[in-house]
Amino acid sequence: MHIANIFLAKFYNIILFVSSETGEKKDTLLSVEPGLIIWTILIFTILLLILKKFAWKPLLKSLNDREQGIKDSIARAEHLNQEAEKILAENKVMLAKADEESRKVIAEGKEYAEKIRNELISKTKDDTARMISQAKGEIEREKVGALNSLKDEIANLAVQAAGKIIDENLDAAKQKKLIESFINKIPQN
Amino acid sequence: MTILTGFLQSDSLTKLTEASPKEDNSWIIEHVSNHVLLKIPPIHIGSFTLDLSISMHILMMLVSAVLLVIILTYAAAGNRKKKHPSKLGNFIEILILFVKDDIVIPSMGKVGANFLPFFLTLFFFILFMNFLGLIPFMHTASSNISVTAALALITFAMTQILGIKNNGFFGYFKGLVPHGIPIFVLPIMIIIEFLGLLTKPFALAIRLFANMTAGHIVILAFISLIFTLGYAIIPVSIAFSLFIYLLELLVAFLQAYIFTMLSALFIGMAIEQEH
Repeated sequence: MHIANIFLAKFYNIILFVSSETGEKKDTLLSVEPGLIIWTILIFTILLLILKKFAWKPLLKSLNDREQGIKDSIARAEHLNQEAEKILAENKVMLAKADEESRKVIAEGKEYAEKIRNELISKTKDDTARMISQAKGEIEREKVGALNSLKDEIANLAVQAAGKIIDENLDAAKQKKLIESFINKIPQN
Repeated sequence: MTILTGFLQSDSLTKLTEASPKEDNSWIIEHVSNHVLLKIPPIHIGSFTLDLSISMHILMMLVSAVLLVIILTYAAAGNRKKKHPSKLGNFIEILILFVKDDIVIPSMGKVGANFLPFFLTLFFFILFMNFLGLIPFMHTASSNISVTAALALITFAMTQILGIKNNGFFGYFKGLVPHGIPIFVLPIMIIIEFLGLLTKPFALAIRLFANMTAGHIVILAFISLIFTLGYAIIPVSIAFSLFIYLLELLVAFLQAYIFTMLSALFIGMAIEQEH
């Protein structure tokens, strides 16, 4: 109890700063002074007004501007990236298309060449066949012509022989001999 | 107060204190309390006396205010010139972003951005007052109950004004009392809520004042141990004061943070009342 009293006395002594000898109340730690409150409010208000105009506005503005700038550039970069990817995809598609096209062209060319070759071959075959048959016909015709002229010759010879016979007064034996020799003159075919 | 002084003046206590006359620790209080530097004649308004004398704490407030204006305008000017902030501007921006993203926006939401200059000034003003007090031969203005009370009053006024402005006069006071409670509890709730309105700034003022005063008193107490217990205690005394001093550095920042955060919270609650 005794110690507690001392402690309490010290506590009040410190906090309220009451001089124990005189009991006179001086400035204490817990005494609220209206003058100081007014000063504080005044200083704070003036400080707020000055800082708001000259410090916070430009500082916050530059902060916001930078924030916005970073946001914008990120958005722009993303947009550009997307565009590049799109172009890349388009390029790929175009490349594939071109590849396909060239393949088709080559295939068509091959086919065409094959066709031409086949045509040429068949045409040549036809031509040769036709030429051979023409040649054969020609030979045949020549042969027929030769035979015909031979027959004419024979007839002529026969006529000449008949004339000679008539001229030389033919007898039976002579006639026979003559015809035989005539026939022998005739070529075998 | 008169009861207390009467109690202290009683014979038994006078005897108790007289028992150890050497242990006069009034110098500690002398150190942390205010001193009048420039006497201005008090103004009498009726029975009320207004003393506007310039005291040590007013000087410290002015010093921190002037320092703030110089440093912040310098930082702002440096940031405006270049696209990227200067060293000082960068540091200030970190603190601004701390106040913005970690104090105001979480406790108030998006509306907080409109009141950012107020909270930034509050934070930096308290921070500078707290840190100035940690410099030798300087005094802590924020360890004066009048100063913290004034700051709490400003927050209180902002809370009421913005609350009434956003919810209407009757809407604001109606919104203070939670909905859906029985009629017979209403009288009690009204009293409780009204008291809650007043205790918020009171707690703000006391918290800052007590935190800033306590550290100084503890440091001085550790130093005074040297004179009470002898010079052998010097290493311990210094080590402990140094430790408390480092703790004070943390507390100086922490109290500025807490004061600003609670102010933002109260104002945010007044603007957007729960329905």
